[in-house]
Amino acid sequence: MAANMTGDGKDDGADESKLQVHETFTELEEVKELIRGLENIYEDFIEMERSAERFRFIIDDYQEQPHLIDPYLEELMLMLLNIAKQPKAPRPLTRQAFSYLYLITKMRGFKQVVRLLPHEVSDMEPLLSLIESQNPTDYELWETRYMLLLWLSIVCMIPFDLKRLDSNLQQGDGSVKMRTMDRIMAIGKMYLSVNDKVRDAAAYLVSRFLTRLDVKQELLPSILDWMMKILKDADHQTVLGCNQLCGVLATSALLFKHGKREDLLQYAPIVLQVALEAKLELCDSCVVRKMMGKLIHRLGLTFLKSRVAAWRYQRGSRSLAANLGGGVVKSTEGGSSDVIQGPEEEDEDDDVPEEIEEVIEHLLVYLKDKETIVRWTAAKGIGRVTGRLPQELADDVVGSVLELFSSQETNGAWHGGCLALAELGRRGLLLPGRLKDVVPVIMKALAYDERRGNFSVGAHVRDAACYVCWAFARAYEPKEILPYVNQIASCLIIASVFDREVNVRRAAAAAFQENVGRQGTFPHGIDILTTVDYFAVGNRVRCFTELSVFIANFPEYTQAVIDHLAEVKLAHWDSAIRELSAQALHNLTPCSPDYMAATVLPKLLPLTSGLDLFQRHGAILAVAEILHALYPISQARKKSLVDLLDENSLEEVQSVSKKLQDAKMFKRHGGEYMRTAVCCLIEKCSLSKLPFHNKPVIELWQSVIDECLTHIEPEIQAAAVAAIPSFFSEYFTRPDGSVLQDKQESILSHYLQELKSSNEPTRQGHSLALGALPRAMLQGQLSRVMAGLIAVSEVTQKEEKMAEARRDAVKALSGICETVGVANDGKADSVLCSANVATVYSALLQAIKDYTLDSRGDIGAWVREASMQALHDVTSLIVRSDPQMLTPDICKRVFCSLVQQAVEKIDRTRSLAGHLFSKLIYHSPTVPHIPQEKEVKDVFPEVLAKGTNWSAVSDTYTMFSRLLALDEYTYNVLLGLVISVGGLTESVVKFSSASLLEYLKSLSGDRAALERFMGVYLAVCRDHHRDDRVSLPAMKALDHMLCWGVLDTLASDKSDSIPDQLVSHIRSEVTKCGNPQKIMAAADVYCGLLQFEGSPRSKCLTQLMILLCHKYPRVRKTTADKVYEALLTYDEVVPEEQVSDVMSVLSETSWDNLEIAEIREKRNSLCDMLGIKRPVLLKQS
Amino acid sequence: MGLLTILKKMKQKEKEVRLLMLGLDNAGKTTILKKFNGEDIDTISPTLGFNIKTLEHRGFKLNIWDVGGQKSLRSYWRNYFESTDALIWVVDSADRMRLNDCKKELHALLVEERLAGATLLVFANKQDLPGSLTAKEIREALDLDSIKTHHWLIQDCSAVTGDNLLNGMDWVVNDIASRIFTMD
Repeated sequence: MAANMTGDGKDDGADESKLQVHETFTELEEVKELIRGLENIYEDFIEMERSAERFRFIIDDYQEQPHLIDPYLEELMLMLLNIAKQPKAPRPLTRQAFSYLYLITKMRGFKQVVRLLPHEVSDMEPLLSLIESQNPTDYELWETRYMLLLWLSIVCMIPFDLKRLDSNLQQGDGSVKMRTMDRIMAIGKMYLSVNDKVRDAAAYLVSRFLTRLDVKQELLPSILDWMMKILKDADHQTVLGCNQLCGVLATSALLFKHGKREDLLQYAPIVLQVALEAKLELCDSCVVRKMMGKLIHRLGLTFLKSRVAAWRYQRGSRSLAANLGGGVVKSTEGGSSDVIQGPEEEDEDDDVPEEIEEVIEHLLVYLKDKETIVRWTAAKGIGRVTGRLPQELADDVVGSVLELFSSQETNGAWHGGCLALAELGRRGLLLPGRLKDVVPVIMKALAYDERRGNFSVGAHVRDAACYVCWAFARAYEPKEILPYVNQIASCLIIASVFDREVNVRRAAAAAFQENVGRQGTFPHGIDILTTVDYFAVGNRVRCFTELSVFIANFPEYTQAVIDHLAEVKLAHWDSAIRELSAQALHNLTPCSPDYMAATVLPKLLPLTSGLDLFQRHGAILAVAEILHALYPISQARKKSLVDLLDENSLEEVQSVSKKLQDAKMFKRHGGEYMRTAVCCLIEKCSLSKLPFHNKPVIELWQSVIDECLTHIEPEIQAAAVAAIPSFFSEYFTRPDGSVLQDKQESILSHYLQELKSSNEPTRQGHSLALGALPRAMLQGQLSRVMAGLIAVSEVTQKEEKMAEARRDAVKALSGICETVGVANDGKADSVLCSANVATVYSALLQAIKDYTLDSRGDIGAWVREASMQALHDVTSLIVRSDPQMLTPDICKRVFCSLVQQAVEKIDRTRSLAGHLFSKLIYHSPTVPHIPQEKEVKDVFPEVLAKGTNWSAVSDTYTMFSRLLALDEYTYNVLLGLVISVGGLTESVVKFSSASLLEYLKSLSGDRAALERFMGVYLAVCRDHHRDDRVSLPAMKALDHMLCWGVLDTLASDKSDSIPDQLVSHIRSEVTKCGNPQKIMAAADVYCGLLQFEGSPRSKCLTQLMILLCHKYPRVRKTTADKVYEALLTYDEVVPEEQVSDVMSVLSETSWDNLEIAEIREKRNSLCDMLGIKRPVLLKQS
Repeated sequence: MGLLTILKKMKQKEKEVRLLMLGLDNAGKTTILKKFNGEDIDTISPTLGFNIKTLEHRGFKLNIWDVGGQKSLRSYWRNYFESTDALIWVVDSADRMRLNDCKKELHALLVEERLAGATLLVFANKQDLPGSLTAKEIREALDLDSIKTHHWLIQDCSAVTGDNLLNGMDWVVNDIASRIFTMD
């Protein structure tokens, strides 16, 4: 036999962390070290917390694969217990040890952990006294108490009579100690009504303890009495009552689970009676209801003899080993020991106790609960109990479950019903004969959607229904499912493609896959499941628009798909689904055009004026989309669309808008939906060339569009704008392409008039509308329209805030250029030509300078972005037909403006500018007159320009700052760059200043170049004198440059005037300025300029001395600080013998607190020491 | 607690595992499955559909997915409820011509993120045919030793005689069990 080889990838640690899958419990040593370390660090609160965090992190990581800890579990538990159980150990130490024990228990599960806790007779007494010394309300120690009670639950099971531990109850002082048995029970009882997790441990303890032979004989009846009393008396509306009920119910459920049936059977009826009388189904706590469900289900199992129903449906499950004929076959399956195995005679005459009816009845109530956990408990209970019933009764149960699926029941009932059906099917308790009743119900559940206003519930029901289909695929032989295959297949496919929720689509796809694989009878199953899979159904748009068509191409599914969309999804509460459905119907029309025209359309048309808003909206959209899809089909058949439709349909399409208007549906609630839908209808009818020319409906449509243009919602305006090109071209032009002049005149003058409206949305809508006009409408009127739009795009003082209107006007301007096209020697009234090209560019280049601010921020950015896009689009348009129309001047301004935007501070703007700039320099055909084209292309090689992420600050600044070296661009790059360098955003400042610094360093030694650069800087400053948007960041940028020391070369020549110019510029900026930020920035710059000897230095000192007496205390204080720092940096400013005096005056005077007269005195003394004239206050007397 | 949680718990309780059986065409996948299932193996034609069979083995429920000559395998890797626990890659040991194809396909499959962590069993099938390569030769030909991302084992076997099929399955079940199940 060949070698048997294994290869383990255990040494590949890197992959493991990525997968979150562990091979072994690798942190064993670290965990042990943490435990050992506890004794050394328990006094250090911080170390303890660090240890706890680490321990928790390691243990929690194994929550999904808890068994990996098993080999070391016992060892770790013992280490911890040895620390924890020392009675004299300090509290923080034991507390932490117990908390670690708890974390392990939580990860591994208490059932595994309990067995490993030591349980010898000698553990009993110390444990009991430890528990009795606990304070049940100490919230810090709940883990301790929880672990102690769990421990007791195993210690109390020692196989000796407990009386043996009670040898000397008589105390020396004559009092009598409690018996051990009573002590344990007292502990259990007390903790059963606490509020924390200790209660769970107590319930487990008591239920285990009660199964002891001696305890059962002595205490069981009295404890049951006590529990029944609590069940009767506890008030489930109080917290305490709920706690008690939870404890008691959990205990009894566990007791009936673990205890022997023959011991407990006698008590079951009375427990059931009391429990049911408590009416806990009304309790608000879902934990109480869940426990109640558990108890009832356990009681039900107690009433019935344990057996495997002989009548259940079995689908041959085979043993691999037996089939391969090798090895011993042994069944390790099977539940508790007293199961009667095998196909023995059915004892139908076996009495079924009458309580069972009540049990089932109540389980059905809990199956309808509003919480999933309760329903799930009930479903499991129904499954188990039914498995022990005779066939006839079991069938009744199935019948009752089926009754849950009625329109009167809540979504909870439907969900519970699905869970129960799946559970029954899984256990073989749902016989094939019942499938004929079950399948239709499941199909209904698969489409369950209960609308609640503008949302709905039911995704969980549909999800559970998919689970039932999945479970059935595994449960039944193909021949049982065969009669229902088509029905199930259609419903599952529809759910997997058209459900709104991704989890339901995926669940349905999974169920479909399981059915294909196990049943093998699904039509085109494999084709569909390989296309409509888990991954594909993730994207809803793709599901509706593509997968739907794929499926409908199989004839078996065509009609089901179309009908589902038309009847169900078009009336969906979510408008996105309705829109998608309409689009899907558009795409589906070619699959079955005649069915659409003859059946679907006539069905939808009456709904377009129905009462239900959602349905109306969906129906109008669908009618529009279907007509539009039918048009090319009729063309292909060489017929007109009218031949394909019946006469009524056409009539009804025409009357849709009128009916809506008569019913005032545009104005009412939901009018927005009607408007967008009708705009869509107008667009599609125009595209389909429906013969409505000169009919009244055209007037109506025109008015609908006009109203939408003034609407405040951009979506509605957009819908109207989208309808305009096709509507105007179809109904307002003659077949030869010429426009109806009276229409043109009235529409244009109306729209142009509206551009002047004082209402911003109106301006926006009409701008966009003009931008969307078809070519014919613009013939002979272009100049008028352009002039109107340009007027809107200009910033005027009164309408400064209408940035969105300006943006839309810019967009429209570019839109009409696109529409009319280019002809160099054309007429200015019909086409973009040499006569009007300058006008267009000057408007766009003006718009790119829009820096309007308001409370929303830099709203001008919208206009600038639109303008950049328009500059690109128009330039591209011209270059494609006649590049000669572009003058060098225009090109230079276009490129310079883009470059400037590409280094400013808003990420989005920068990114767009970079992107458009790179597209234009490598445009095909090429753009003429690119300034310094060769140098620019050296900076931006083609590969780089196309592969750069223009929104990354780290990339763009370095590239664009290199353009500083090119004369044509220096001014604009610098203008943009100073704003970034002197800005506030950390990353922008960081990267922009780094690239500016890099450039300046490259100039080092080249004085002429530096002077040129500073000359441009001064020009930028002069051009934006007192414009704080630029001048303040420019000052900050200058401060940076001075600090970097890159301007040193300017200082070496005293006759140089640049520092002088800088001083006087700064001075003019801050004179009579009230902005403290700016004044302080100026102080910075003055200090920096101190490095230039001679007149700049003395002028700066004078200015700084003036600022030391500024009226704002903050300015005085900051100036003093800065001068102090500057004097430290530039040591030759002050004569050496004066330095210490100057410094002490600067640092010891409290410049912001003293009276102004005092300050002035100090300041004047400084002037004297520095050897400059004292400033004199100019009085305007 | 949603349905997914419930299903996850159930998978633990019922000890269900999902095995995907793959390999080039004519490697003998369906024969192996039929043999597992105790069915007649005399009449087998190329698999066009796909089959899921459930078998019990040592207390585990094995859901074996036999995906025949399907172009897109992606659809079977995972779905809403389940992910693949193990791949059974079947090789025709007598088909020397296509071993290189076989290697390429296998390695392409293993880099797929969604199959990460799945156990890999390679069945060197058709050992009953004369001139078939040994497991050792196939291990080298498929470059199995370079696989570090998955636990793997190569097992020589014959679907026709049934030799060693059980050994391979024992290993798969053990490996999965140690990874995903809580042993009581």
